Amino acid sequence: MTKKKFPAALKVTLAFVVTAALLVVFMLLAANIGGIKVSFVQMLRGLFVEYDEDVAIIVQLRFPRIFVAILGGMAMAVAGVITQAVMKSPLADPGIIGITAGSQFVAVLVTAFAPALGYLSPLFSFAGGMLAFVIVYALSWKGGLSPVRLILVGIAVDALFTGLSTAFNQMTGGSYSGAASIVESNISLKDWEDVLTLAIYVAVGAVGCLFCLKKCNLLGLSDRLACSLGVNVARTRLEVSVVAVFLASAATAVVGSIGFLGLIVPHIARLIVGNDHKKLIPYSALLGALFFLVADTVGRWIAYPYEIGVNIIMSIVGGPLFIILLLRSKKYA
Amino acid sequence: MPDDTLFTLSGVTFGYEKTTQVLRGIDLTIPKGKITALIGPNGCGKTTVFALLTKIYKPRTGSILFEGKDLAQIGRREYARRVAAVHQYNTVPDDLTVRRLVSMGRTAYQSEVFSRASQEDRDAVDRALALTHTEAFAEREVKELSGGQMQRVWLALALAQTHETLLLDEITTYLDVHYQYEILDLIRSLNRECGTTVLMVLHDINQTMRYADNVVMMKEGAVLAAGETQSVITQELLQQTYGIRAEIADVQGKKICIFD
Repeated sequence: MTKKKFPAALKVTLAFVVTAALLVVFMLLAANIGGIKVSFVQMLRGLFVEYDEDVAIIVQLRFPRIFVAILGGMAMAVAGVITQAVMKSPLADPGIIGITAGSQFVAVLVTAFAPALGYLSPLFSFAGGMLAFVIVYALSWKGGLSPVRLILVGIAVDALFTGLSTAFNQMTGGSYSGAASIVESNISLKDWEDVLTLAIYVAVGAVGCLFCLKKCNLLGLSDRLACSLGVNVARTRLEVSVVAVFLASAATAVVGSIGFLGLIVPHIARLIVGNDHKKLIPYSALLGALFFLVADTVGRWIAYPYEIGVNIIMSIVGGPLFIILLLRSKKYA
Repeated sequence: MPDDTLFTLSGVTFGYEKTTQVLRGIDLTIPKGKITALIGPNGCGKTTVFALLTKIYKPRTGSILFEGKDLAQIGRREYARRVAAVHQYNTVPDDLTVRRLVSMGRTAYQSEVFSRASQEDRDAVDRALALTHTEAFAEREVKELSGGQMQRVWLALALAQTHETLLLDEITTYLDVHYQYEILDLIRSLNRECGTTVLMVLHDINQTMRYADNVVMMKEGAVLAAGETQSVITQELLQQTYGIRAEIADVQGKKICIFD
């Protein structure tokens, strides 16, 4: 038995190390794509030793974007894992089932009418996300969850809120650039203030996740079983969902809605580290950060000097992957 | 007499949808320290009675008392430390190891947030694995187990939770004859040695006659007969419940049921 157990633990450790290393590599690459290029040594000197104008520009313009991508990717991926645990369906994703569209709509309203709220805007998005979540949950949960019902209700809720956001954006002539950037999920203009906002909410969400690890594992059992083990399943489900919606909303408020990330990253993470949320949640965070950063970096690099938005990249890659996942697993039938 | 009663159901009705009624007024007492078998045709409401006794659903009308206390008033965790259940259908992540699954039986004894196992928790898990002869594959993932092995793991999970009361829904279903009798023998020895109260759904009349002290016969959401096994299981009642002709014979001092 120990012979079998050891490689499994090793595999998990290795996965964490490799993913973290790749993340660092892509951070350096991402920092160096664009009009200004600096060597690695110049970058380090500029950062830690003496002022360098090029490095300063990179720090001002590119670093915030990189950190927003990392934090946003983490939040989206983890929100996906938790939503899947709550809904008991590997198809659940805050993007697909309309949660992010709900928070996005509120984020657009807040950005347009009360841009001064700044740090607080994720809180309002959270309310929008919870609203969408409650609608989807109430309409698709009947003693258990039919994946088909979930997806159908999700599509409707998603369409409604996405439509409302776009309508609002067009009604105002798209002149509120902040709102438009959320609708288009454009992270090219993010600054250090956005990084700070996102970091605060992601940190709060991370603390929330610590309280969710065991609960998510218990939700992996069938409801009857969990119930007879002494778990208040309905309450646990609600507590855990709040964390998922919080993270998804925080990311959406700053980054906009990114489809498929919360679906594909957890799925790949499950294949690598298994279903134990104590490993799955941290690993998904890491992998989510990597995915998002890679998608954003590829979008910046592939048609330079033009840029492809990160949500476009995610859709192009995510759509086919989603279909593959559907075909691969009989669980979704 | 009330001291010997563990569960008292009076006038319990229940339905999953507003318009249907699965249980039509159940009056029942389950004695402490005995093995009670719940039998009846498919769809008679046995599993629903189980769902009510494990606090998954609340009765629509009527009351369920546990040691004279309203079940609704007893906290879920407190209740889970005294009553464990094995349900008919269960799903778990397939990469869970047997030991980790059985450890989840200790949920009601641990913090809701962190799962630091106490020595007592670990001992209970080891004991449950040993009793059910599942230690040999304790480190294996559940997807690698056969139906029979899995069934013993479910029992181990319940035993890690408590030895006091076991509710078992068709625990012998996936087992071959050897393991059926082995698991029923184990349940009986728990009952005799630890005073475990057992309420189990069974399908096999002969197993019922051999292992159950008491029998509750259900049909169409109502209790048809209840009492000591010898007096409840009669040819007339079997005819009435299942619509089959059967003969109850004495073979070497044991009652057995022979179907025509």
